[in-house]
Amino acid sequence: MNRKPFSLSVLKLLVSVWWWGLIVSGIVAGLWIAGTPADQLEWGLVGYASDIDTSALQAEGRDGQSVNVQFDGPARIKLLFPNSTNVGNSHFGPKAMILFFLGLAFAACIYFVKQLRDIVRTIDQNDPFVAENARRMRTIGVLILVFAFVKGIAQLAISGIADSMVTPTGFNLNGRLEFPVGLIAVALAVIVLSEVFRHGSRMREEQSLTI
Amino acid sequence: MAIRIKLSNVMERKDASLTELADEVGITLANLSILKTGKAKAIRFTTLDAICRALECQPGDILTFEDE
Repeated sequence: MNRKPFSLSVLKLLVSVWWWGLIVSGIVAGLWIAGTPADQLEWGLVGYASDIDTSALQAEGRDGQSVNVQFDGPARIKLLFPNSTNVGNSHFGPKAMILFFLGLAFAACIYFVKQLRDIVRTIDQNDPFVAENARRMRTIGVLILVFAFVKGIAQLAISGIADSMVTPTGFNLNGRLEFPVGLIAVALAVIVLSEVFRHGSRMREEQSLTI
Repeated sequence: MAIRIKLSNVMERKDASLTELADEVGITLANLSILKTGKAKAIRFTTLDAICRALECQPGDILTFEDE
């Protein structure tokens, strides 16, 4: 009797929750943004601040001595514009832009989770060592890699846009080009594993067709 | 691949059915069918030995090399 392990059931549940949660939240967010009048939306922009004035921040060591406080690298800050801000004048206004980027992010997330879902499905069918899964793992790795680079570039671009919209005091908005090294390492590891998987699935196919 | 399987020719000559041969060689009907239709990637020496024994032939009667 081939009983499925408990860990597989948990994995299936988690991926399903992720998949359906993503779909529902994507639809709800899209409808909410599309349905709310532009003047009632709270417009915010996430920027990356550097050279933050830390003179007001204080810390003391256990021996009572003053400790220097500094921000390590660009810090994520949110600029919230008042509701009355006139941002909806142009035809291709910020609302359409938000919906466009939200749709793009939603499509990428759905594609990412779909790969995981398909891999879990093949495990459930007792046939995970197939070339398609190697391709899916590679896709996951490439998506993480693309995300890491887009995040680095977007961080710089958004800081630039934020800098053109406000005059900061006590900090700067000229962000730096920084790529998340951890994510890039994970992406490369997944791509290397996908190659191992591809080789393994080819060997498995050969083995199963050896009479 | 340039290696061709001529199992069906030998089976026809020896008037052996797929079921009989599978029984005698000790492999499943499905696997023998894969071998006969040329879909197999490799053949074990033990399988080849058993087929040659059952059909009273040489490996060269079953396998041929055709340069593509």
